[in-house]
Amino acid sequence: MTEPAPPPRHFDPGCPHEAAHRALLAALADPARAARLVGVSGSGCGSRVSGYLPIAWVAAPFGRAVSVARGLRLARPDLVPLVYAGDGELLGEGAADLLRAVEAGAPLAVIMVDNLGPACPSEAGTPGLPGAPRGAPPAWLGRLLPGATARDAVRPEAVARSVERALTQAEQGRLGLAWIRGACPAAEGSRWV
Amino acid sequence: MARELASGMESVARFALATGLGPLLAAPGPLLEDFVAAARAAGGPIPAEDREAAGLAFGAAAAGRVPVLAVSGPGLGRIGEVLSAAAAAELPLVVVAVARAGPGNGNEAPAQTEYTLATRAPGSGGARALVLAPASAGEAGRLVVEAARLGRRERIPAIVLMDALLARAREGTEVPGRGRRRRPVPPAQGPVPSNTGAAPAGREALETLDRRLAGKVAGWATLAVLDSRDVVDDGIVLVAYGSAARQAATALEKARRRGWPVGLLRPVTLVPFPDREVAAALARSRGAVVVELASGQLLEDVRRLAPAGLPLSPVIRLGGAVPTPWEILDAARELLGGPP
Repeated sequence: MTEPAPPPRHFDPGCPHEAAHRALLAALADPARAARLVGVSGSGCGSRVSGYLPIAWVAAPFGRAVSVARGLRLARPDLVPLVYAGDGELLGEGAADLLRAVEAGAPLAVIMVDNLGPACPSEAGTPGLPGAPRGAPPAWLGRLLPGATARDAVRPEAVARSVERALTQAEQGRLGLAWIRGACPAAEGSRWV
Repeated sequence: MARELASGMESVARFALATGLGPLLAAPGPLLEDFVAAARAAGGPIPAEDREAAGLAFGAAAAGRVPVLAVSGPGLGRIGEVLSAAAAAELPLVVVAVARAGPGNGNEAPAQTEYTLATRAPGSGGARALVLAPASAGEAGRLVVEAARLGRRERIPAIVLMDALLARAREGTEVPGRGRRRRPVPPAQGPVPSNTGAAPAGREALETLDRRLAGKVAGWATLAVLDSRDVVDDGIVLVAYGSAARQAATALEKARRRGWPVGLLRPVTLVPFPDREVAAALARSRGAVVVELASGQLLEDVRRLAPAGLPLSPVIRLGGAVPTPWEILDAARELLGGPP
């Protein structure tokens, strides 16, 4: 008997997305909570999240994940948007959208998976180009969100606490950010995207 | 409805709010003041720039509303990626685009420089949109409602293309009264469809989707609307849309008073362009005067539909200038062989 083909996978072992997914799966264990959430995915490796987490997902154009999430909330104040994107989406093309959401205190949960690449990587998951700063948070983000601190993907308990806090803040009508950091194991970027 | 002095953008906002469309979204700008004021009064967010506004519109559309997004000049180009994503996701949203003189930032005077962009490539990746062109403040409001209706039906963005004259000049027009209670917007509810905006997996699935999206355009021919006046056999036709059509209409009156065989073709839908009707009128004519506030963008479509050898006389003004009815009349006189 032929064995069924394995389901497609998009993330290499050790990918920081794995830590983020595990933390979110635990946080979404309550079906009532999951029913109130709507996910918005950004571009790049993060765009594949929709197959891994049990909530509705909207795929946003590059750089617009945060604004799309705010638009969803505008039309559906009963829903809590969850933005899931990488640092390229949120600190590069979408930096202005994130900045304005932070300034407005928009009620969103933002899960940022930072692969230590430049803020606008040329390919999904590409680590930093030679000479690019690695791991340094943008100054404006630190000033707007005091206490915004990256959690290393290799520390799952810290990641889980950060994700839970972000979701709780969004449910309370504030902007919550969970910043999960880890090097891309594929070096040249995910082979699955 | 009340007859009031209202600008095109004010008319757009009031018709939108009265018919349950929204949210109204626009980054502040001199051509969009009346719209932004209405959006602020309605309690909506005021985005700082066009791409943020477009993102908000995409999200609201994904959640089941039909947002009205206003942009001016280069803003239509800026939101191209989001328009493309909305077309791919089959989300209806209305874009009110006020053209500026250009290229570049241009100025805030009347222009029709976004015709080619709006009708041929409003979004990246071959995305298309319905395009409607009002010629009065009142019509601007009514066409926004029509754009939303068509956008819902075809599940695609729709653009209402205007110029600064229509956007800002106040004229007496029928608009929903300020004091009129807005129709309560039935709250969007139910689950948000999952994978909205996600590209299908696999090359074959993507080609299937792209073919289906491209096929929509072919089915739009029956939606074309043309305002045709006084077109007679062996006469001259004036072809224009928007504010240029108003100047052409004045020139038409003067021509008819002189007994000249002149008619007017004013496309109300630019996508779909009323190909069949315009081609038929051009085939019966001895020449056409094409009036536009751009460097030959509408002229390209008229040339495409005109029989070989038909004289075409462009009356073109750029940089914010508007042709006078006498310039148009002179062009018609020349095509007629110089009647007095």
